[in-house]
Amino acid sequence: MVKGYRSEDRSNMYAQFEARQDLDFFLKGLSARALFNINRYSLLPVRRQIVPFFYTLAVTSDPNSYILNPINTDGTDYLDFVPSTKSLESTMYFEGAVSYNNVFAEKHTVSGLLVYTIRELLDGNTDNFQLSLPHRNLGLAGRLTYSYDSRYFLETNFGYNGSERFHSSQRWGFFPSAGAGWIISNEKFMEPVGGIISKLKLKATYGLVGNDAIGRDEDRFYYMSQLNMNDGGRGYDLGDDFGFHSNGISIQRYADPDITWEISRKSNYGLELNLWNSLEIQFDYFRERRSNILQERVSIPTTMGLQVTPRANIGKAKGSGFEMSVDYNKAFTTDLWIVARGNFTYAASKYDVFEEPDYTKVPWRFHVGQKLSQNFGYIAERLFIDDEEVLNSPLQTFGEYGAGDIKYKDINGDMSIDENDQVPVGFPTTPEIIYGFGISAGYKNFDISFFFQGSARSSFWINAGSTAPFIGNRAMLQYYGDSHWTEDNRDLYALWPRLSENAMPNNQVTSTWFMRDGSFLRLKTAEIGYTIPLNFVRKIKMQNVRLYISGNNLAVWAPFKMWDPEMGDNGLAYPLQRVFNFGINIEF
Amino acid sequence: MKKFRIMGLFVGILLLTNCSDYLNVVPDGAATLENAFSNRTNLEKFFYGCYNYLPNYAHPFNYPGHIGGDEIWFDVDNGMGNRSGGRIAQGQQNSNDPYHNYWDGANDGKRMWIGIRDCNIFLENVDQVPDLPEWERTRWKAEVKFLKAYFHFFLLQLYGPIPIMDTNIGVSASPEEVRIYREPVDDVIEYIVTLLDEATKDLPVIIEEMTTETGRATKATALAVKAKALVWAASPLFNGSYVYYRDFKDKRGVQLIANNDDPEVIRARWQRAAVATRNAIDTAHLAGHQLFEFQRGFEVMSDTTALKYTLRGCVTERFTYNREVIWACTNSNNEFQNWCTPKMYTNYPGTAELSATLKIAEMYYTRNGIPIDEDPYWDYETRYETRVDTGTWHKFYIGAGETTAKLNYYREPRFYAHLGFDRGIYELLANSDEEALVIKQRSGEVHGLVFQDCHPSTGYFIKKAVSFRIPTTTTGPTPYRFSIPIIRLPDLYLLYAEALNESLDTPDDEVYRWVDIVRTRAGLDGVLRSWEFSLVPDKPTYKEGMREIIKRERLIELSCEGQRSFDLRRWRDAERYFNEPVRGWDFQGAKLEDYYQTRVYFSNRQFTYKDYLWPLRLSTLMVNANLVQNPGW
Repeated sequence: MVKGYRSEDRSNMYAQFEARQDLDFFLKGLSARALFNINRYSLLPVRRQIVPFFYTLAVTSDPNSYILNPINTDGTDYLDFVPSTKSLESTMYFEGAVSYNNVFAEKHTVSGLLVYTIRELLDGNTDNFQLSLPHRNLGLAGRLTYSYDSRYFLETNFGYNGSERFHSSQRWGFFPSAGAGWIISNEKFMEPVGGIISKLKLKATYGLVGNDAIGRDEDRFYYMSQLNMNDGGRGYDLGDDFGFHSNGISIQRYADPDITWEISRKSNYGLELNLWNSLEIQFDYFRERRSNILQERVSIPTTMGLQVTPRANIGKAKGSGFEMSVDYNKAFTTDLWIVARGNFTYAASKYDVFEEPDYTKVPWRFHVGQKLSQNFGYIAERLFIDDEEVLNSPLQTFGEYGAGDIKYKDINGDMSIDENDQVPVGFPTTPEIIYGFGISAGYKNFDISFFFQGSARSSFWINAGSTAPFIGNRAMLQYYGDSHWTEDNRDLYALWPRLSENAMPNNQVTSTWFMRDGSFLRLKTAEIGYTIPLNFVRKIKMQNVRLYISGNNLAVWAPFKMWDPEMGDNGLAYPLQRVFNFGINIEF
Repeated sequence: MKKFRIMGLFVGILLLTNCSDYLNVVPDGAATLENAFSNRTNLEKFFYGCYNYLPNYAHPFNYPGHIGGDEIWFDVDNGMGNRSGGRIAQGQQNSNDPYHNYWDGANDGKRMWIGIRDCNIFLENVDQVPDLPEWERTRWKAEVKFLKAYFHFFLLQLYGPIPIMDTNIGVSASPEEVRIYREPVDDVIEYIVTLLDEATKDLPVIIEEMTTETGRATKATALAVKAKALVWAASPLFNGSYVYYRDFKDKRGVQLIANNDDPEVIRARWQRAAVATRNAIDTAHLAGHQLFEFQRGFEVMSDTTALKYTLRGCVTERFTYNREVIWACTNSNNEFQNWCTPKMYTNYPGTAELSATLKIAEMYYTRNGIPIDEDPYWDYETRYETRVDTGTWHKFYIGAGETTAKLNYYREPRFYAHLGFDRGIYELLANSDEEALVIKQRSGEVHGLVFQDCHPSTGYFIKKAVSFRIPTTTTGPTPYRFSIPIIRLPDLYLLYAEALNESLDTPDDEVYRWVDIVRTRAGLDGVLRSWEFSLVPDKPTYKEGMREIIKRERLIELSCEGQRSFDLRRWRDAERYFNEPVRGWDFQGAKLEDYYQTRVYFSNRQFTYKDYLWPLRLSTLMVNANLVQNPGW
């Protein structure tokens, strides 16, 4: 059913000005360039549409008749204008660079580079003072490299960056890094095996990286306080007949001039190996120590009366992992070729410093030493058998509960299940292992390819709140219908606890009951193609004709069966689609 | 060398953008907290923002005085049961995530400390505002001091010992500085009293600009709050007599609630409260506050109906007519009223489910002004049976010829003015006596149970929370906005009688006088005369008997105004009352004999000594280890 029109008028204006200057006359190998561009983007969408009147059907005593009951009164059965979001953006970019490149005595290669950049973004669609201010970056970066005989490499880099987001005293960050490399395969002693080992390189880098994109975009200027000087929610009515109203003033952020760059110290050790010119293996081991992580000051008591909790650069975390990829690329004959590729990443992290209350009496609640996206929750033992067991068990403090509701473990043994009984549960919510592999191969006119991807070592939670049956006239999932606790069938390990018309906070707190393994392996894409022989194609004046069938998201293997684990916590949401394509590529 | 000229241009651009200035994107003059104190207009907003932190008295979700006690019941399956008040009423208060958490600002509670901090910010900065006239500066300062004292008092009523936040701690203070201690109840009350005394001297006697300023604090308001604070200090919960608080100490070893139960010390507390209350009453009288009496306009009505309007209007009428209200929260709106309004409209997706419990209906006196079980002329034993209305005595109370429970017959006028019941008359100004609205709330009837529409949960509508000025011809409810009083004169009169009675060995005429003022207005005889005919004629003549009479008078007069659960906790009577089963008529009964069955809607609440004070949230105690939990939690 057509309900209207939508048109978009989009324009993008781009002007660039660039100059290069060779400075050989000054110093051999020295050159300079500069670049300036301006980009203006605008979007004017227009929507004209009708809003239909909707009716429900109601039956009457006469089986041959019915009544229509209107549902909405805001319908327009004529075309009406619906405002849409307009967009206007302007960016300016300047880059000035001086570079130097020279080779001495045929073996000593020296290069240097200094780049100065200015970037500005103006966004015309903001509705708040702070977002309306231009986004600006200013930076100076440099690089100095030296290599000897294509075997030994040294490189140092630095970045000196300024961020508008910080107070002038914290604005500039200096981030140096250095690295060294050794291509062993270029050594003389490797020549005998040169046919097998076409490339072997060892490398190591260490350096600092700064991040100024901390916090939400609305909180751009942490060094400034933010107020709502006319807050209707903080106002007051007065007068005999309530005839007087004044708005109030509210504080949305307290100024903190000390907020500054988040810094990570990264080191990386790598190996690149190529065998027979067709098998390429890369292996990297990396370590990272992040400091100055922006975090809420949870140690500030509520008695301070702050309207918002301030944040500060207090967190520290470290992470390490490795990354590996294997590529194989070979054409055996003109008719048979194969390309195979695989990658594997393992990354784990943990907090070294995390501001949190003093949990020494309940040490299992500390975030320090735990993974970054570690979830905390209660340990569900099973469902309560009957109300008598409820009375004889530790008191659960989440709201009404009874027979058939989830029974939690009393970690600290104080006969009360509360906050202090939360422990780290499951794997982190972001997977620690991500991998993928695929093969493309062709034989004569046929070609086939497929690609798998997968993840492991993550947990997710079934959202008991948004899948709970009956709430808001929600229907019941078949899985819940098949396995739930009832008076007659007291299945203590049923998938769903006692059914209820009301939301049951006791059963909805984060616990191991609804925790599931998030790992999966998916056949992401597969494709089969057939290229029609050239001699036939040329007859019909074409260059190349290929027929193919492909599919996305074709199969998934996972320990969790109720729905696609990539959908996360709510199986009633819109699922990932399985897509099949059939196509013809024709080149004239 | 043309290229060089171009390069020169670029170098020029580079030099023009002085690095640090370029990143200073925030122009001078962006709003900071200083702007709030730059001129009177901005300051005024900050000033009213301080008032904004008063609890929302007229919201059944937010105000802890309405639901959560034993006074009002609701449909447990229909939303209210999941709100904070409903949870507390069902005995589900907890320390993990407490309901009505006014300490941290969670679960339908406001974080009172924000209000206190704002008051402090105001007081710290008000002197720098240039264009504020001196008289106004003085008055605003006094009002903000008053609010600061009231916020402390409100927290004290819930939590007992609380930290005193007389000055603000800076945002960048060290963790040690921000970990403050709770202070003993007596110290907090002393602080509140000092602050109120300071405020009182600069507050106006009366509000002159009533159209724009009614609702702001006056001398009488401050003195009334002071009186209440001192009454709390003298009352059994905090006066040193409660054994459960005997060892309630913090980590410094400071005793947080008094533990000296020497009768003379307690008597001195009551004497001090009596003086303060009398002072508040006298000041209120001086300011023109007086008991409300409904003034008939062109409407023709019986004296009975007019009396009912008087007894209801003292709560539901606005200040212009109702000079009885000393202070109300004018920011409150109509939520409570709407939740109490019966389904009188054709198109009403409302709830109408808040009802008074059967116990409240039984609490009101008989027409002789004495309790139903002390009146020999009132048939106590058969009160749950039904009878037809035959006589003329009930002409303006019960629909002619209708049948209802005997409990609803021969009661005092306040019973009929405050509560609406099946076959009772629901008087509204829009209806004359002849065409009075008769409530019909058996299941399936017009005001009775209608699935998803109307859930009258006990059979007693709270008329007192609904203005009699609402129209009846509209399709949906059109509430007439009023402010539920925080303090009105009878509150003070009865506090005064209570304080006097407690400071004397035997009640004297002065004690009777103040109770009788309230009774007379309610159409009843004085205490002594009324009890003469009762089964316990000597009850008013001794201290304990008179104490019971004063308490009951107070519970009746101030019923359903958000006071009862505070009073019962203050008296330490909550254990006795709150654990009684919640009873009402069977709202699912369609036939007469089915409807008039008393049903238990909830029992086994298990309110114990610990429930007298709110629990502090566990995580709050973790963040500040210097805070101690209230006893029992």
